[in-house]
Amino acid sequence: MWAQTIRKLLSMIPILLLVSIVLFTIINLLPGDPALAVAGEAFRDEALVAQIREDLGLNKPLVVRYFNWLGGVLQGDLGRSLKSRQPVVEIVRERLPVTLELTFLSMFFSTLIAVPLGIYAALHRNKAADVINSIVSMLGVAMPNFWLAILLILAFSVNLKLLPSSGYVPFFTDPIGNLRFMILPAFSIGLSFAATITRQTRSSMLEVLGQDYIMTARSKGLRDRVTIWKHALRNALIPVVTVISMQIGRLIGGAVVTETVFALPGIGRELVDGISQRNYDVVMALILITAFFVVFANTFVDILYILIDPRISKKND
Amino acid sequence: MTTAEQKGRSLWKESSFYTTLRRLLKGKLAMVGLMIVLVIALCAIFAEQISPYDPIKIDYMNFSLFGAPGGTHLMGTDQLGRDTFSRVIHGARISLSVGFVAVSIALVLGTMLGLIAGYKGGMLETIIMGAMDTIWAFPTLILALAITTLLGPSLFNIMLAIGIVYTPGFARLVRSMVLTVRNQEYVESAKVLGLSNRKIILRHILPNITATIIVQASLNAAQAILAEASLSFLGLGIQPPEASWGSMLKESMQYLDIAPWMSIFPGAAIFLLVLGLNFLGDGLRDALDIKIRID
Repeated sequence: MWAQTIRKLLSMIPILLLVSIVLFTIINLLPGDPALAVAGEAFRDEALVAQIREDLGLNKPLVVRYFNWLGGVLQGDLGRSLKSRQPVVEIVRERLPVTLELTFLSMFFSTLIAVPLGIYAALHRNKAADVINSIVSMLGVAMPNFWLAILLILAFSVNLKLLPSSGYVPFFTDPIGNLRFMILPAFSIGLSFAATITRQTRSSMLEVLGQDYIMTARSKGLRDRVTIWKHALRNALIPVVTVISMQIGRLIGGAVVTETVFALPGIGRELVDGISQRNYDVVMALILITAFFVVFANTFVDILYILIDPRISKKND
Repeated sequence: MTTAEQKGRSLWKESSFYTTLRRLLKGKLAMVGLMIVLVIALCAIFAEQISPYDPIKIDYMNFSLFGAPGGTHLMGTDQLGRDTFSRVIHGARISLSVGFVAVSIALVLGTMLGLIAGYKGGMLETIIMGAMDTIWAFPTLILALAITTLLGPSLFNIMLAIGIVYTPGFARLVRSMVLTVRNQEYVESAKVLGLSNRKIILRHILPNITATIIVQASLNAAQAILAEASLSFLGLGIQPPEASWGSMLKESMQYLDIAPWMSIFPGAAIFLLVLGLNFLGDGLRDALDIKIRID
């Protein structure tokens, strides 16, 4: 099992390398000259622009620049912001925790609510609770997160004046204040995630409950609770875990949009501004980090499979 | 009725298309979905005729800035006095065309790559699926955002960007299905008969996986529409003064407290269209009896 886990972790390396090549190529092909952006109002001064281009290493061939950049990234140097000249590592250190907190909060609470709801719906199939649950899930899946965010602001900030519509305080400075700022954004992203998980849990539970081995367990006289928790849930959870991992990318994308609505100082606004200002190093660092999380989540799930389903590790050993 | 007509009718009733259509029409939610999509599609097609006003014409003259819904403006007016209803109706064109074209691009590219990877195997499969896994590793919206910026924010470029990010989904699905079909007896028989690879893929493999691809396409269309709305909402998609639901929502953000209708109606339009497409996709999946998971 350990060998498999290590193999899975190592398989991340070629994917991340490919990601870095694709990313570097796309960003460096973006129209517009970053040297002009740095020169700002002095863009007419050709000598100055040429000097900036030289300083930033933009005259070198793309391949050389890629390896220089990659070398820096591997040593923890993500470059500097073209606008503020602030090291990108610092920007990441400031911004990333906000996005990660938002993603984590929405994912954690959604899963905590959605999985039991899905199980309950499957066990009470076609009863009122199941029907209501299905309707809410269907509506939740279709709800655009930024529209939900706007509706929540209208209800809780503009009309009821219960929660703030924008702003942020770090969790360790003021935990309650932080949660007050985070509730609405986390709910906006979490609803469609929770709806997807509920639907998946319900359908895989129903599929497992119809299997022969569950009938056997029941006919053996096992109590319902043991049958459900010990035999059904473990197998039903495998596709649920897959769906959770596949949603990580969507959650991060959702966080980027939602942060703009609530003016949260996460990577979202920085990324959007960075793209429009041709702030190469900032954009590349932020996208690379989000891609790393997606690849890591998928790998983590592959490793979880080995733990949840012993057949997988046996088959591959 | 002649015997030939009777025979024709019974053949039609036995056909899988008829069975699927009957099952689809029986599903209540699928019908609701179909109705929603049809109504929005009709609005998009006849936008010029249905819209009471020009969607981009600024109207300062009638003191109708931030006009509340009702009266001559069913959904109110925006900060420039433009009629929200007319803009929502015209926005349907953009959303539907993005949904259709982006998914068609993903479908054609993904199916081709998946077929080649699954059927040929070997080095070619490793390269194709490696490329697909690389695209898959990026958060969808963020990659679409980068590609749109690279290509420039025009309608077709947005469609292309969204099409590219959804390609791996189709490629992976098609490849996995080809792998299961590849060793089935009828494909083996076709090989023994000496049919070319192209003929085997087009005549024997593709028809057997078409249903699954259609279901994936209908559900992905909803995601593509959401992606376009998100890009336009971030200001990197459809540009003003063009009416797109996402860019309307972006503009509405500044006036939430004085003109909430500016955000309620375009958002509701996105929600309804995505809901309709999801209902239709789920209905198709049930009618075709396909077990796939779409994310």
